[in-house]
Amino acid sequence: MATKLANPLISKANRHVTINPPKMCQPIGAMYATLGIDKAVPLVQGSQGCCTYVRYQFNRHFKEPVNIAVTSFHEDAAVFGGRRNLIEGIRNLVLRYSPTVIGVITTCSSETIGDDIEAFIKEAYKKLSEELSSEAANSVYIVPIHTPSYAGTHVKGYDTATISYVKYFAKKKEENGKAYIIPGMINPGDIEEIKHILDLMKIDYSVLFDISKTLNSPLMPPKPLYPEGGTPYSELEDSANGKVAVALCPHAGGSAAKYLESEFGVKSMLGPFPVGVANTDRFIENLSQVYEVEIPYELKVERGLLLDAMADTCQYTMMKKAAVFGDPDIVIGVTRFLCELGMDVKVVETATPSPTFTDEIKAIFDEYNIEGEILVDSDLYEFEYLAKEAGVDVVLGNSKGVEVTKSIKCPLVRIGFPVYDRVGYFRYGITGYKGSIWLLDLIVNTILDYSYPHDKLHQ
Amino acid sequence: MKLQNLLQQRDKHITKHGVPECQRPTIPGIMSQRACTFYGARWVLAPIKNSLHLVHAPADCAFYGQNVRKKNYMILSTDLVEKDIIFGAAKKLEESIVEADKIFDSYDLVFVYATCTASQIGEDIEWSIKRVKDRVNKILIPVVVPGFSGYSQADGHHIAQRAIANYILKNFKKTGEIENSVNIIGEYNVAGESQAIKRLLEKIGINVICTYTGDCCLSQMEKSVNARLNLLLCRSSGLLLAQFMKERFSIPYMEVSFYGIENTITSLKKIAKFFGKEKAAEIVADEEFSKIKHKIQFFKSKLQGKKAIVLLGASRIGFMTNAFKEAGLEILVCGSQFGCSNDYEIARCILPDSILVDDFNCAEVEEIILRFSPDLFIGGTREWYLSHKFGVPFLVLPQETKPYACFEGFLHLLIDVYKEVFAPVWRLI
Repeated sequence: MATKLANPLISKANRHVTINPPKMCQPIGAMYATLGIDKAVPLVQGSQGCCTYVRYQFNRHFKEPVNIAVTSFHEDAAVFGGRRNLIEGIRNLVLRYSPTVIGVITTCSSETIGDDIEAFIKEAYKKLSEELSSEAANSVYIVPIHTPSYAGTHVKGYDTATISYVKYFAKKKEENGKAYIIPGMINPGDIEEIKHILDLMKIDYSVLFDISKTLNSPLMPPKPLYPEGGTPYSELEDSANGKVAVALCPHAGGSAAKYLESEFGVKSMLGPFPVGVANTDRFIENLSQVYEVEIPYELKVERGLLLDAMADTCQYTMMKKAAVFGDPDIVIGVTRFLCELGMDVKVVETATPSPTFTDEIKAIFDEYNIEGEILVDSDLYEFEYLAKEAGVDVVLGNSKGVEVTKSIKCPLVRIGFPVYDRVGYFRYGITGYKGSIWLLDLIVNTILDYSYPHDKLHQ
Repeated sequence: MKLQNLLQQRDKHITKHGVPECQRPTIPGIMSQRACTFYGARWVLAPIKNSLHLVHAPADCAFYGQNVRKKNYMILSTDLVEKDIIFGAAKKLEESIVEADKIFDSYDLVFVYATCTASQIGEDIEWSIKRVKDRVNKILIPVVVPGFSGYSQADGHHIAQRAIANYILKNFKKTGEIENSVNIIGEYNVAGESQAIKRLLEKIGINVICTYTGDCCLSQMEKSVNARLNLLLCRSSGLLLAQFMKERFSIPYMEVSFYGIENTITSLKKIAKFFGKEKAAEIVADEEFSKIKHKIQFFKSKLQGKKAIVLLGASRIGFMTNAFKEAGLEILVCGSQFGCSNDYEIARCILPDSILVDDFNCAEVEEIILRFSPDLFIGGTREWYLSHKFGVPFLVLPQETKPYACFEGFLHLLIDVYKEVFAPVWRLI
């Protein structure tokens, strides 16, 4: 059922009720990061729904099975605390799946009753060494991650998880000169694209929380217990010895990069999310400066191909009105790219509270002489109203935008997470020059499909 | 050996004979496929037309609860933040209800949910509702569904039914029976199934007043108390409501199923007998069956003897397995996340030699696939891609596009099963 906009808008800032929230919970962000570690299992300390609902999102977006365990809070746990559940949960998980890393992810309910998960984990270790052996118990790393959902969104959850892992694992040893990439909540295709760029630049790197293979695995029976790929915990340990820590999405992973800088002197590089021309340029230039390498010819060709594609299609993108919603860093990056395409960005929204979002978007708007609405910590109802008022031609966002675009009667270009009503979006990255070409094709083809009669195209 | 020990925890939940132990707490850490109480309540209440759903919780319960049975519904939230958790958010809730009422003035109902956090900090949503009652022009219904109350989504189904009974139906009075009329209870109009059943019943001269809750609105609910008979499709999400209506409005109910030819014909006959329309039912059944008779032959011959594993929600294991058996599948294992002993007893009657599993988990799903190497796996989204990784075809329920109910629905089911099992990809692995 599409939202009816019969009444004039009451802005989110002036009302209490949130209508169609586009933000997810902290635990899902923490799980996202955990699933990128080799042989790691997220263990959710909370009710079953906190795991089931979230697994469902992963299943539908990546079309992959995911291993996420839950300590199954029933009424007794909610009253007496989740001590027994967590200890038993860890024991069962270790015996059944022998994981290397367990991320204990708390939820609203567990945080509200004040579960002391650090103490519970200690007890769990004790129990494991009694039941198995102390070596076996010590070979599993159990990392506490505090993610009450009333204190932030999925973006914050991812950020919290990254810093929890880095704090737990990182150990200073000899410098290795590597670049450590913290990707944020982006798709396997995006990560592949970043790897491609770094390979071309001949930079030694390691992607922390690398979901590119764990959440995009081949059909090759027999199925392994854990999908291949994922960052080994030793890389997390080694991250203290890198040359640079790159958070592609500063809101999701920035604090881990900053921690590595302040604690171990690893230079932190926060963003920009490399989509579009200028942002990708900046990303590559930053790296080339740090590593003192020339920008390779292949990358210049890719840049040229992007510019070529932009020149070929500017008649379709120029002055087209667009609206964007999603995670802050991705929205900032995509907004800049849309401006580069000559599109008129009318509304941008992120549901994640952010101190920098407004300023960054404003800077882009000023640069391109655009007057658009900026919504922070808002909902899709307000977004829909403003986009409708502005008469936008295209909306960019995740699958929750479907109802919005139905009501505005314009097409939706799917970016971000979750995209569950189309297949394959996770395969293709929007990062880098190549990814931007794909995103450009997607936008232009969507506009063509929607607003040009097929027989009128005679190029 | 250690693993053996662990499996003993689940020993009684997996049985070759008799009924497995069920409705027990989930064992922590075993990757159960169960969901929470809020999830169960959303599944029952979301489809009610012209209703607002306000979730008193951090915004995420609302985010995840928006998408129900492959449909998107509008959902509201009070979006609790840290300071609300500490100081309480009764005021925020009250204002939210009033605002929602103003913004969506053409709606009839407001369901106000309290999930884990709100319940833990002692938010009294019933009290808040009482306080704003006079300022709001709609029926306000509290639904207290903290995710931890109860062992699975089945408890949410019950809470949702009680909410409908206590806050909506209780206010209605029976004004007189409507001839040849029924309500359908426990049917959610997945891919237009309600309409398929409605059309079939209309052919024998029986009108469906209200379908709880797949295709219903407040005015239909008001009229529904005058029905002659209730048809109960899903026991887990409908039995309480049927019992309530029997008690309150003296409407008898009968359990029916429209999955598979056999079930459909038996159910039609049962219903027709109640209304004294046996002849009409026979004619309609013959007519409808003859339409698909020739078409189903091919698929049935192809699927004959294929080994299948069926893991579904509670009462579906009873009334859907019959349809799969009719399709020619040999069902080796049948299980449910949240079945009650009644569900398993019915399943046992249909499948005397199969293994029944209660509250199955990921490791067991993998074990079952390896041990039985089935030709087809039937289950929900969460097992879908797991099964594929073993190279086993999968039929996902609820279905994607076409109804599986009634005569033509059975043909759709056969075609969908055929499409999965005979996809060339499985031979290329």
